[in-house]
Amino acid sequence: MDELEARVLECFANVFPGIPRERLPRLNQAASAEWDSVMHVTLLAALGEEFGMEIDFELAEELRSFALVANYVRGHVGR
Amino acid sequence: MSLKLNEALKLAQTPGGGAPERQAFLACGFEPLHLPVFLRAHHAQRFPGRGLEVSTGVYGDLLGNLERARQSRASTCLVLIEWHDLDPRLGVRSTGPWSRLRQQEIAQQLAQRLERLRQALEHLSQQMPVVLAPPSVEFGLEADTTGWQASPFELELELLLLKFLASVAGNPRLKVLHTARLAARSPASARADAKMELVAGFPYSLEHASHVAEALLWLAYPDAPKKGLITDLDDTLWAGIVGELGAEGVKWSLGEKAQVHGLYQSVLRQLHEAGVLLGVASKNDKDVVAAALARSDLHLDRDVFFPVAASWGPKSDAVSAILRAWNIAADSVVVVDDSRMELEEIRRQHPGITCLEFRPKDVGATLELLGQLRDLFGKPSVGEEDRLRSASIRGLALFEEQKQASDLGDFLAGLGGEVSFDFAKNAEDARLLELINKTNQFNLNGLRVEAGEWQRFLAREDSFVLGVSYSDRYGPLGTIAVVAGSRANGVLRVEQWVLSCRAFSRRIEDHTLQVLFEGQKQVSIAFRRTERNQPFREFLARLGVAEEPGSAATSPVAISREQLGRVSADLPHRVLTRSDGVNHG
Repeated sequence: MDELEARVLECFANVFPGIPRERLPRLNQAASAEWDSVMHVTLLAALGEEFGMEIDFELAEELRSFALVANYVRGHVGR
Repeated sequence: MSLKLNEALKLAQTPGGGAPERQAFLACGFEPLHLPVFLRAHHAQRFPGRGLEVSTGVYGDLLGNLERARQSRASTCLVLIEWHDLDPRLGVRSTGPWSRLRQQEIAQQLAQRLERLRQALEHLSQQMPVVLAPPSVEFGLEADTTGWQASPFELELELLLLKFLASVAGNPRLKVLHTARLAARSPASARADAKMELVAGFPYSLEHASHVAEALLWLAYPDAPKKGLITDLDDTLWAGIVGELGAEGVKWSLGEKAQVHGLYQSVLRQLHEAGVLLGVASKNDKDVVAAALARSDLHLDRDVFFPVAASWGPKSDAVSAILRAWNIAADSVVVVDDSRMELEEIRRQHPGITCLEFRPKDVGATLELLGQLRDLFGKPSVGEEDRLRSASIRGLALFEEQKQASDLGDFLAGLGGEVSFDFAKNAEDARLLELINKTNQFNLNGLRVEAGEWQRFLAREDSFVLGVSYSDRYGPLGTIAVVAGSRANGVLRVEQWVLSCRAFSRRIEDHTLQVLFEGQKQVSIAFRRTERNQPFREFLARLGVAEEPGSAATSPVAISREQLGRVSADLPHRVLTRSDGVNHG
């Protein structure tokens, strides 16, 4: 896990404190009761704040797993 | 201070730590989204070891949420109003044709909605204390004028809102957030997040949400107000050194370029009128000080200062003497002085005291200091009891002096004392709760009670409250003691018992215990040893109640009639009034 993924993981850990940290890199929305629409917006806001980026909420609708989120951030950070 | 969301998410997870968790209901018409997190995070910062549970209602139903709050188990309700709660046409999530006709209709309907809201808030406040934040995000779609020009329509809506706020702010169980203070922390231009509002129904930027949460908590769970202020004189109460310039040479007026001192005097006068004790600690000759304080153009009467400690000894000694005369602890007191060195010396000798530097050359800093005094001493309302407190301090000093010179029994018998007992359960009487929450010495167990818990306690059928007032030839002391608890089957259980330190040494607690026993088979008290309740422990010792060594938990202690007999002989005062609102059987 590189530094960017570690920072994404930290945001996930902040938003989903009830999920064991080791499970977070494999987390996906379909299999997680905690990851509802409100928590999705909270996660996006936490990521936006952490990486100083504007998140496109329409595109972000597709970000349904840790891996997709990390890829999205990698593709947009610093733009 | 504003928190970042990630920081708040971490803080919000901080475990409670054992103290009872507070329950708050957050009532708003929009999606509360990050607000519960920011509320829990700011709460964790201010009250480490104590958790906050935040319940919320449903989207788009502010009035319904007020009713949900009323039926919830919360002990405080935090209410946020935004313009679109008052009329959806004033928010960015609704669109429609705008016309002058429509504006009239909006204004008319707004007045009706505000009235319904006022009634719902009144109803809710009967159940629990309410904190209300007025709209903090502007509505900006009014199109008649340029953005620089306020239109009659906008001003009319604001006027309706202000009238509504002025009306609800008169309710003693409801506090309205000061919009100017919020604006100083959170500028209007940085408050809204329109994108988030359109996507998720949450109208605030993260930073503004943090500021709003922090402000709501300050109103809902304020720090206990300070009780006394000790002021320096030279270059603080007035400009100049009175020992060099003489009483006529010191100044405090605009014309003499000393206005900040005049402003300070005016604030001290207001504090005195609100019941704050004022004392003087000054390195000066007594006579010189007396002459200057006697000047008729001073903005406050010299008698408001008691004691006046003028000497050449260390300032901390003067502060010690004043604290003894007031019989209050250093952490309830603020010292204002222009000398940083003197303040440091005082702080070292009196840890816990609040020291503020008066900087007369810096007008901005002085105004900031005056604002700080408002925060430190402010309370929701000022009553007759507050005024009595400062008036009774001189009588207290005389009482102590004359008590030393006589036999205690004879002295008390000659006081002409009158004790009034009142069992009325009045939720509007803020004095009783105030006494419970600020009394440390004669305090049964040191447990504090929040306004919401108090309202619920009073509503219980088995609960009782006894307010005790006292007066003697030294003057009235007002309501100086409270006992509260429950009664069933001839057993009276006391959960709270406090007596103001101004009323010590008068055997008022002995009178009180006798009254508590009337009609009861047994009286039991929920005692807990605290660091500061030595006077209560002395009372237990007089009763012959053995204290369990090392016990830190609250434990019931039964008091027998035999023990009552040890303190109830030859009670010195006349019992004046007794409400008959309670069945002692």
